[in-house]
Amino acid sequence: MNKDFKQTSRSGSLPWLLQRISAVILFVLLLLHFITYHFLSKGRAVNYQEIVAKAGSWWFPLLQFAFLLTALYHGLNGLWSVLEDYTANKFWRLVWYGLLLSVGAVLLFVGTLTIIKLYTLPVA
Amino acid sequence: MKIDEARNYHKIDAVIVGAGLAGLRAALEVAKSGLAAAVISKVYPTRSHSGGAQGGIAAALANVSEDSLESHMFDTIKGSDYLADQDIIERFVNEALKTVYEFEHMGVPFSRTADGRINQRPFGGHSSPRACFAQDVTGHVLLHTLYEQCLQHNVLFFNEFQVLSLLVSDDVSRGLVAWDIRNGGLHIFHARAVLLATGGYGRAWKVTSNAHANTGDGVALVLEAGLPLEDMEFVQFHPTGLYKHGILLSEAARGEGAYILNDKGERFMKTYAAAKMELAPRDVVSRAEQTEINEGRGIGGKDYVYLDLRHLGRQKILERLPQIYDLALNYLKVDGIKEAIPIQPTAHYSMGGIPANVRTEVIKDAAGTVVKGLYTAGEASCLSLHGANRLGTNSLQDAATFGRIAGIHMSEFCRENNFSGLPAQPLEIAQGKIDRLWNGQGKERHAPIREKLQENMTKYLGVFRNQDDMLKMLVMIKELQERYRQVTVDDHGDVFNLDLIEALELENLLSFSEVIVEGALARQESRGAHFRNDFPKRNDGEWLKHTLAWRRDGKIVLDFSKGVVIYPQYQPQERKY
Amino acid sequence: MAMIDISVKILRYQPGKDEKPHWQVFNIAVEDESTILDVLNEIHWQHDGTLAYRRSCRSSICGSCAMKVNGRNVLACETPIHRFGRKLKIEPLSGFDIIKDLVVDLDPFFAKLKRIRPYLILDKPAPDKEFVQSPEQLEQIGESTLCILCAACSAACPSSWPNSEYLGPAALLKAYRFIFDSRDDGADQRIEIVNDKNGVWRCHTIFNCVEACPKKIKITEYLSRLKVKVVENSL
Repeated sequence: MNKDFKQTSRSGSLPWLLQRISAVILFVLLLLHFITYHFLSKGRAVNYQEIVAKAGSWWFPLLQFAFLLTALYHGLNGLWSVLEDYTANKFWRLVWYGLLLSVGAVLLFVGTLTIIKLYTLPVA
Repeated sequence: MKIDEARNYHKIDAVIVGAGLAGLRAALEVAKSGLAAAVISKVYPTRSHSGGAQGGIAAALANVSEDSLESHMFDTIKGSDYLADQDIIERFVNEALKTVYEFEHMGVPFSRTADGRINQRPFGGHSSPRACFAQDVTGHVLLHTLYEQCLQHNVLFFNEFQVLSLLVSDDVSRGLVAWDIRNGGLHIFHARAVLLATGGYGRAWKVTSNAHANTGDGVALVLEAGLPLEDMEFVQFHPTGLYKHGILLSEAARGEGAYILNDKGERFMKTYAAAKMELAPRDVVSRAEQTEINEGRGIGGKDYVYLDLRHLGRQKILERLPQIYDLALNYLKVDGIKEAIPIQPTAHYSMGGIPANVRTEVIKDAAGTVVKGLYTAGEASCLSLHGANRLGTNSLQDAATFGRIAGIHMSEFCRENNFSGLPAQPLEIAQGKIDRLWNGQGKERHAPIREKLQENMTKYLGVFRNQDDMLKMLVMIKELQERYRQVTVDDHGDVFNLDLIEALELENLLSFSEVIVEGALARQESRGAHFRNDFPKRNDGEWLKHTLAWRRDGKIVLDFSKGVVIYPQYQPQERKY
Repeated sequence: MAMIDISVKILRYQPGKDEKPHWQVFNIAVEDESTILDVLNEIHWQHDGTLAYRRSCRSSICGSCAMKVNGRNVLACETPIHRFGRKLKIEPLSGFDIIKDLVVDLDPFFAKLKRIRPYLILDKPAPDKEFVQSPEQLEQIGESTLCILCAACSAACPSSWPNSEYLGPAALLKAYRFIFDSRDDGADQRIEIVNDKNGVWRCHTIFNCVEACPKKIKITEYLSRLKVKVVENSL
């Protein structure tokens, strides 16, 4: 009798869980970011060589890529959940969903390029 | 067009009027038996005033101390001042345990003992802790649970319908006519069996714990149908009504140990009921309070005394009595943890009502002749279980137990009997009531008439009564009935016409109030909640009998030939607490 | 106690007469200790019999008189006018169709309640006496059973406004009440119902429901527990 009420198949429990997990990861990543970028320099001006050295280390692109993925998921999923509140129509739901996926894909691409670019910065 | 083809015609096995505990319990029983059950209610079911009951539901489970059915039976008999019918009480206490366990199995969140059983608290007039409770919202959780059960079992609900006439002729119930409050229009409900579970009639008083809805509609409809009412003069005044508002502060407060204090800070109950103190039955405590007030020992000489919770401590108050705490805070700005709460007696429970036998079948005379297919249960009924005074927590038990019993007998009746024919003009009476209010030429408004009735019922038909006051009240009621004939309403719309409903309710109030006063005038004794200063003693020799009252040719006719059922082992004794 | 003059602005709608709701102002004198319900009664009984509103118990337990006063959802019967000063603005609950004046159509609200199967579901036979339930187990659901179904929460919920299919805080709270009842065996069925796009996931922990609840039930907290339960169940 309640089957008819479940018109949309996917429930939303997984996105809800991932949203929370990504929030925790983001928090940790943000802390690492602050520590490695700002606190370790103890307030003095940082020069180009130091940044290049950091960007070229093995852990830097990994950290940045994790940052990129979780921030994208968290942000876009949050936006999707708000849009869902206001969009009952199936067509428009698909349109919004497609749009968000496309934006995500573009940002992922641009972000990845940036990380690679940083990793390969010339030392001089 | 034939009536049974009309849009607003419903043919249903069992039609139940009232969605409180009694009505819903009956509906559930009928629906579970596989028959169609419809509940007609003037409010959404969860708004019914059973939800206002706070303290508990009585059953001798003996979960926290020794108890027995015999003890519950004796307490109820003594509490009733020996006017209750003992065969009814016997059935009641025998079914009470089952009723509570059933509720528990339906999911009612009863408060628990440390070992996980239903907790019980002491209550006035009960000799053991017998009140099964859920904090101080027992009626609320019972009502909601029953409503949910009814949803599960597909009971039909006609919410916001006002019943305007019963279709009873030749001692057979055929159905009823109701007004659709929400959309307007009269509906015919053609039924094999009808249950009247319309609740009490406390709205005839100004200071009352009753909801706006408690206008005794079922009681008035029965009177209008030429059938009698029973023991209408017995109306319980609850000792702990919130000052000025009359709103109920549960006896659970005293069950948990609260004191009642006068202006001198004395627990004055020691002079009125030295053994039971604050936990004497309600009639006794209300009289004590009113005496203190009348003799100038109200707080600051005014018309209230104090309910003192302070010594119970913050934790107990908030855990066991949260609703009471909130009510005092919201309505009087009194913090019950730090201050005593102003209280006064408030019209609370209607012991009288529609006479019925132990099968809940409505009867039409002292000999017990049954009106076929018409049933009643709960506060609207007078079985008589509570006699001249009800004990706290017996009311929820009464409504639920006799609601279930009504459901059982209605189901049987529906299986054995076909629909009885409707009268030729079923809508006539109902239509007449509406037409007069809409098309009358009079200029009277219903509000001032109701106000005058309520104010004077509180003044003249309160805790203490005497012949002069009641004669004044009787004359006044006649005048008000006369004025009512001139009432018209502002609102002529079909949709949610509150003006119309209130005017119709006023007609009911005026009708049965006359019976209350006539009965109280005739009964020249003091028994239970009916106390006369001019006849201050109980008089078993002359008055150990029920009052039956009819309206015939515009006059109230009384009959005292219906005796009280008394078992040899429970003979009337002096009543002391 | 003293009489004071107040100005009461009420959103009126009389079907068949008015095309759309409009404001009407009543300037009246009332006692300073009056409640909002006293004010409405005064207007209805003395000034304009056509005013429609719901009320019954006047002791904050029946849930009839939830309405919006100066922007807040309250029970008219328990709310003193001094909370708002001498200017009152009274309107029906948001998010429901208006039937007349302050009376809204609550049928959809009650229909949602029915959807979550609001009754104890048992796989086992009931015992002869009561089920054993410890005070701690009762404590889990105790506060949630105080709900009076006044609809103030749903009317305050931004997730409910644009989406009439959303179950809403009251029905979800009822689901919590049964799923977390130690006696109940129907959790799986109900979790399937609330684990839906229009179920518990539309709750974005906005807390408006908690603010609106006249019984001070921490609805958002219970819905959060419900979400965790649903996730645990689907993992």
